[in-house]
Amino acid sequence: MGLPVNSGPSDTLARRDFVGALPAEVATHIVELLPPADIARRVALVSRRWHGVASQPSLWRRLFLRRRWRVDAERVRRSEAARKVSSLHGHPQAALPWPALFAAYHRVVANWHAGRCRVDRWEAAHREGIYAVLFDARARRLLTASRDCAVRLWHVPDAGGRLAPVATLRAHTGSVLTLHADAAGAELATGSSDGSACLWDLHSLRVTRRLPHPDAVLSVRLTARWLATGCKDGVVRVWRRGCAWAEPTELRGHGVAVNAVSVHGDTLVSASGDRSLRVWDLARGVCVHTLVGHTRGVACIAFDGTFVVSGSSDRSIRVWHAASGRCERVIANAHADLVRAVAFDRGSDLLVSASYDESIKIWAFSTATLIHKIKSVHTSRIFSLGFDRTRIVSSSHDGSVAIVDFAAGLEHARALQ
Amino acid sequence: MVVLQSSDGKDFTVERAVALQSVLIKNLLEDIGESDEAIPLPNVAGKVLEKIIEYCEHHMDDPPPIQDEFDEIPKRSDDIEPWDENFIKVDQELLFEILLASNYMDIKPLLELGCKTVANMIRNKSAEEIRKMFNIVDDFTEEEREQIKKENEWAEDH
Repeated sequence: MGLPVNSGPSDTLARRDFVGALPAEVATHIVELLPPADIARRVALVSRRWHGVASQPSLWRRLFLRRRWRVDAERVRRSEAARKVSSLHGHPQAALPWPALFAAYHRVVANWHAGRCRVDRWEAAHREGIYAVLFDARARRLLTASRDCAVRLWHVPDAGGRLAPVATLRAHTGSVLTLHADAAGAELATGSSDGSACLWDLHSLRVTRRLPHPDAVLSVRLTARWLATGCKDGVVRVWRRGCAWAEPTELRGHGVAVNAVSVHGDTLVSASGDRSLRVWDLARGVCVHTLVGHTRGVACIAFDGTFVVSGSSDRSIRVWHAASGRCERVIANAHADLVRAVAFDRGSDLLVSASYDESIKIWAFSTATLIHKIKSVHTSRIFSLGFDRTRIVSSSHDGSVAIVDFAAGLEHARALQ
Repeated sequence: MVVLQSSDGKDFTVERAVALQSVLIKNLLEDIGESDEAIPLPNVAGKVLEKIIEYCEHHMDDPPPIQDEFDEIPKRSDDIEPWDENFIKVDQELLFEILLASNYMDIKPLLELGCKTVANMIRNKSAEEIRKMFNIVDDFTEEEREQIKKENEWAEDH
């Protein structure tokens, strides 16, 4: 493309102030087409008029929402109210500080990509290895399940600082291998090597139901509609919630232990030591696809309703399309040892994996390229992880929990969703 | 046919489909019905109107623009069609008038084209280069400038 005549440096034609002299809505429209960092660094510094256009909250609101991120408005208003003296700012309809929210978003994304983070580790969070963590950022809650037979509930402070123990839940007589809560956060399911799965009321912290299995329960998933378990006997068991606790539907097909299950809507994905994954239609109780490709057992999965990510003892990560059963991407040699935990979020285009090689890796979900490797989070095998917009929580064989924080000290960052 | 009259009294006779691309004219024609009288456009000079008619004639058969209010993707300005790119290669004065007129006459695709063109002129330029290009006076005090730089520090890391 040649130089447009209207930007020629030596033309003697009339110059016009396109942002300062056009109607505000047109000027805003022009500015909105530019990269946000350039609006802040360059456009805002041209003149007072340009600064006025470049700092409108409505502009930054649109720029923010177009990036598919959301914000917990109530949380922002509460922290704004706490910061300022005037009670007006705590008003439920108070405008949100959109330029500051965009700045928080921008910084968090830059930190993830540069690997700029603070790592906090709590040794002896349990007496023995922690097989599963469940991190609920909105509720500031962390649940951990351990070989020491206990489940522990922790409060995760926004500002960083110490994990605060809230309660210890005891019902299993063997290692607690897995846990999951429904989206509402009202009920918890746990599974144990004692051959049972338990349902808990998260308010009273009492067991409401115990479901016996023929062998160790390796994975549980709880949704509004289903409770599913993956068992060492190679069978996936499914209970429809809201009905009486009748005999479960048994989904048979895997040759050996079902290491992981995940449910979205009426679709269940299971992963097994037999090297395959299976996609099941729960409404009909049938296997729709068998996903073949891993050359050793599959240890973990993540599923968002559309894509499945699997981690295997063959050290690779695979991305699958659930509806078609197609393998979309393979990250061969993703880690130097078994891939024990995976999680992903398409909104922020992040895939996070953890391995027996003691490292956590961050990948771009869409391209499967490595963004960053975080060493020295743990000093023994990593068993489990979860992440939200600003933090990764992980647990290890040595009984420690670690939080990798990409927004330490960053205002408003915890309200990002 | 519809007759459009510029602010300097020039009459332009165009096909109805050409004129209807302006939402302003479309609404006007709906209100007054069929009429042989010229529609006055007191804010648009003949030179500008001629250029706008050229654009509307070329895009007469385009499908209506898609509403993108709920688009969850950042906007872009690097997707200008070759004909449009050539059409909009005009001096700043005329580009400015086209923006004003397309806003007044409510011709969204042309307004969009003008905005993208200006955005592309601004892109990758420093504040000083932008001021020079558009002949803008820097009216900040030193304190104001430092304050803005401080507020926008976040944009420095990539």
